Amino acid sequence: MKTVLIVDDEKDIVQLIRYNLEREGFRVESALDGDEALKKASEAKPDLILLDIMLPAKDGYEVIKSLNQNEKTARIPVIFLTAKSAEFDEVLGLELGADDYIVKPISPRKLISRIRAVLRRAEGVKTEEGKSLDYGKIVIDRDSYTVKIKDAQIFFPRKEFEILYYLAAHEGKVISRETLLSRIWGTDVYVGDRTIDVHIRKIREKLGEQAEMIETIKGVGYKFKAE
Amino acid sequence: MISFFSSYKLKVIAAILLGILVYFILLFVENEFSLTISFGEGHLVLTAIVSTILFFIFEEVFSAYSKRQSKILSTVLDGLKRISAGDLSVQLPETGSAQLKQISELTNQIVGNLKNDITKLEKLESMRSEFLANVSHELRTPIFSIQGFIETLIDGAIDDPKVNRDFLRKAYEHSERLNVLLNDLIEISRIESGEMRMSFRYFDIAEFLKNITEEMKPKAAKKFLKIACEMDVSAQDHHEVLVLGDRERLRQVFYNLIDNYIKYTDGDGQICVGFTELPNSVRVFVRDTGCGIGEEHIERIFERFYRVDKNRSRGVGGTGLGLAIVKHIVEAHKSKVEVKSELGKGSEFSFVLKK
Repeated sequence: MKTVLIVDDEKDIVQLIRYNLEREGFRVESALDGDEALKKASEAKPDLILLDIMLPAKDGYEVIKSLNQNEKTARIPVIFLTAKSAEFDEVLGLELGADDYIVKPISPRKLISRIRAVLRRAEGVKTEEGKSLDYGKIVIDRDSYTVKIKDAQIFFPRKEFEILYYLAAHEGKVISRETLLSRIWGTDVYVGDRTIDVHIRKIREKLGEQAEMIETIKGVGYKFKAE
Repeated sequence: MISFFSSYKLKVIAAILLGILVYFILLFVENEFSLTISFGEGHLVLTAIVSTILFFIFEEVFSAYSKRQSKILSTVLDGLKRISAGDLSVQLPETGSAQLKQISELTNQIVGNLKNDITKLEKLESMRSEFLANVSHELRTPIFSIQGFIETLIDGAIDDPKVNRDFLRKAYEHSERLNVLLNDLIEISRIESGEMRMSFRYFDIAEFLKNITEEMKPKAAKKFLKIACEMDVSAQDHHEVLVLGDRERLRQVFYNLIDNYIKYTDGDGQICVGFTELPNSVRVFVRDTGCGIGEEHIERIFERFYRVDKNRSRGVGGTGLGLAIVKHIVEAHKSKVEVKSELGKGSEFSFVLKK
């Protein structure tokens, strides 16, 4: 049974989504503010977090940042469910590593199908072949979601890890932005190219001296070079 | 004329010819009228040379002046072309002949006015888009709840006795909330477009405030909050204190102020509504022991959709328009809302009404 953590300060909305999810066989946890969300996320280890943006204490953006910084919670898929409909907010949400961005109002049925889609993708990534990639200077381990560079272990949030892993698993091949978008975010979510570029920039920052392993192929996408 | 004298050689020839012409004219005048203009032939030559030099000087001065005017004119023309192409950063040189200077001054003035108008329009446009974004944002949550609860009921929850009545009630409550928001929106747009009709009458402020307090008591009691009425001594002597105002609009002012307090205060707290009599007016106030407002927010709380705690207001059902409406109504009474507040201790909203 999959567990979904609903984070929203409107009790009625929590009740509404909870009822619909439970009816579909999900287990549901809920939090009414950002701090409670972080606590519940690390305690209950949900399979997915449905996160509002305008929350008391810490807003949704701060929550996702904190989730990504904590190894215990960094791998949990996050869907933003918010009344904020500006493109700027959506781009920011996805750049921060969300799996989907849903603007209220949405029908509960559609919401559940989007939740299932994200869970399926997260599940699919887990079972993909190839557990550990060892290129000498860099070792990318899927099981532990860790990257070792010259024996130093570096922590990557989930989306960044998935992009790096996908590029490294196709070493030497040029991977287009479109391929990355559909592999990492799926085809249901509208994600702009900029989101990919922001994630690549963050990956390069973490790779430090080895940043040049990811080569930009102008106008096309990226290529991972082991040497 | 200018092009004719543009060549230096031509200028010299013209000057010599002029000198010769002056010489012969002087000679002719001397002979014809038997006048003694000069002191002999040598002086006539000298006069011709001097007039030649004078011509040169005059021509140079005239040419320099013409060149300068022509340069200014061409700068002005270039500037006008840039302005007509939409570049409003152009500043025309306010020099040259009097007329040219006037043209430049007037053009600069027109461009300046245009820039101000554009800035104002841009500000209005950005306010309009911000307002629309806010409205759309405020509408989304209640709509999501109404649609969500109804769809869930249709999808089978209607047969679930544990939730069916509750879901229907919640859908209804959210539709009410939507209605409050729409009413506030209509109200604020009516006020801001100058369509608010006021009906000024004299009425007893003490009685008015007592009624408001009684009206709001049940709402406050739901959150275990108290409302008290603090009248000026004069009213305690049972004499009427008449003020001039629009009773219905002022009722809305007090409703919004008290409602805000009820929404944002949890736990123990008290609100006090009252007035103090002044020589020609009455100061009415709403004083509470609520959470208070930070100094940095006080300037902005009357703006539409401005929220002190952005993430909390929606949860308590605020539309973000209440205080903007208060401000407009009080201003229509030729008064101004004054706010005193201390974080954690409470706030006081007050304004003056004419007696």
